[in-house]
Amino acid sequence: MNEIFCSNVFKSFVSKAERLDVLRSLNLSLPASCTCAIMGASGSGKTTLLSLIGGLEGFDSGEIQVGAHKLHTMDEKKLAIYRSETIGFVFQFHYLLKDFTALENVALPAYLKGAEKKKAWEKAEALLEKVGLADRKNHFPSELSGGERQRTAIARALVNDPILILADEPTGNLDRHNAESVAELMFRLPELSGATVILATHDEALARRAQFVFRLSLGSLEAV
Amino acid sequence: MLASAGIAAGVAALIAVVSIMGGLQKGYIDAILEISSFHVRVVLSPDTDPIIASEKIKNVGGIVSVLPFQETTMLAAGPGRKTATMLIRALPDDAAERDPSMMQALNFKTIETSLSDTRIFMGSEAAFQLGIGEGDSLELLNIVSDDQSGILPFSTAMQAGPMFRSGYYEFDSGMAFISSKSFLAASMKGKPWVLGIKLNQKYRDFQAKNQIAAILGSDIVSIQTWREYNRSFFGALRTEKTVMMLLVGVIFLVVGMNIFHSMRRTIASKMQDIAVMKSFGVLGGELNSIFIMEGLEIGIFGALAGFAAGMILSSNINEIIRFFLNLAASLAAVFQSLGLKISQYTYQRLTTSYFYLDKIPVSITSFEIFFIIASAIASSVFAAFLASRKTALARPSEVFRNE
Repeated sequence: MNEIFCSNVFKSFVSKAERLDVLRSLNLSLPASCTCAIMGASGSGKTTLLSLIGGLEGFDSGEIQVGAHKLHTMDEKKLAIYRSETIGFVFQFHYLLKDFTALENVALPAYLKGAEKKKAWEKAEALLEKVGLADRKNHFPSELSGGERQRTAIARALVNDPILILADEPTGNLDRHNAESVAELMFRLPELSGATVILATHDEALARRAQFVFRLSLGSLEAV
Repeated sequence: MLASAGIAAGVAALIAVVSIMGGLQKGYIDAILEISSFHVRVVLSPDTDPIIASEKIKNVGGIVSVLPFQETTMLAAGPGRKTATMLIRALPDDAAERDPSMMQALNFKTIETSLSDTRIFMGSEAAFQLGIGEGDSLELLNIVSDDQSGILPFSTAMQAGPMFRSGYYEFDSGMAFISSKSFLAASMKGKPWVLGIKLNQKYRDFQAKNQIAAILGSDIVSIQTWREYNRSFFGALRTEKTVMMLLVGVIFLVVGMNIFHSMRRTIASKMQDIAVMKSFGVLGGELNSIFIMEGLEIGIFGALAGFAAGMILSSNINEIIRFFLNLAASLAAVFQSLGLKISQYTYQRLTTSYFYLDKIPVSITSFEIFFIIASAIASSVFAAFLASRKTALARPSEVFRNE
């Protein structure tokens, strides 16, 4: 059975002026613990697709299934639980909470999910060590470099043992050196955590390192 | 912190205002019950002997005193042709023994030995208006009527006895007491006798009313409890207090709006963090509760601080006013010594000569305190709730898209 399954997904944005069909009859099917890159021009709908798979946004029609979770049948509360238990997000901007240290930022999702504080902190510490930031755990985001912030964000995405990591332009805001270290980490995630990684990028070189590469164009995916 | 300070100021102001208003009202209500309306007021039929009727009911459970009297309004004229209308009450000679608390309320200790056929005991304000002192003579004019002669004026001279001062202008300026054996009391012949009854618990008035009505039966023309007798006046007092609370309570509206706007600004600046938290699986309601808890914290902290400040202010209001009056007087003296005249008025202490009251009475009930504190906390929580609604509606994907 496939881990990620999208069938005939339609998504449009309606404003007073116009109706914008972003995804049109989109289909996708991926096995567990793989890496997948979605390429496409700016505004092609990459971020929207990740938002739909991540349960951050509803879709007009079609089906999306991640593991045993059928998103098209879930209400807001179930989607929140789904996000908490199944998904790890890595955004283009790190979106770390600026008043919290790296350790606290990583531990927070686990703590909010209901983990004991001590266990959440221990797990966060272990993850920071895995991403090479053990010695930066007590630093605030403002005291970390761009690459370190993004690696902290990756550790945060892993803290609840998700089966799927959704990364939206994870290296888009980094210099070459930092982008390389983050990319290397991203593609090691299936091996590190067993999770599937879907990343949206318009960096062709980065995308080609993934096991599956798709191009999103005119609302549909085509294998590259 | 500023929001809590606003709540605290509102609570302190409301407690101080309501306690002073309550003190003034309570003092007045107590005086009314002691001097004017009693707890139960029975108007007897013309054939009923008031003393016998008093004896019949004096052992009813809860009755502390029964005072029979007649009263009517008369015109009094002093030596300088100054006149005043007064409610003249004719009392039995043993009135002080029958109703000692009324004498206490009047601050009047001499009546028990002084009631006589020729003396009238009036309030100090009435005496001042008539321009008379103790021992002076005054004319009293009553209107009497009978079947044979029709309506006739009845006039007699009486000597002013010692004056009483209850502390309430209405009584001190418009009431006087005479002996029921006096010549003037004879002019009240057609007036009904009234029994003024006091109870050990004023809220057992309806129970006492039923018992008294059962005992006296047809001897009664009318019987009213203090709540019935003063219904419209106490209703007006209650309305006055409610309106005052609403007016001062506007502070909470202002503070609530302040909390609402500052929290909205905070939420707008934290929208990115809120979106990230939602992406972790935190529900909108859970995020709302963070802000509502913050509102609750602001409300509780402010209300408790305001409660403490309000209680300190209320219980020391006389010292505080005295301090400020003294300060104003001292500053005025300093300015005057420097040759600067800052006002055509002089600063006076809180004395009965100028303000009628020599101290400000204070009274507040636990219900009023509870209501004020609950309103303060509710305004803060409600403002936080309104401000945080946006967090529940925020969609992470939109927030990230707009970044």
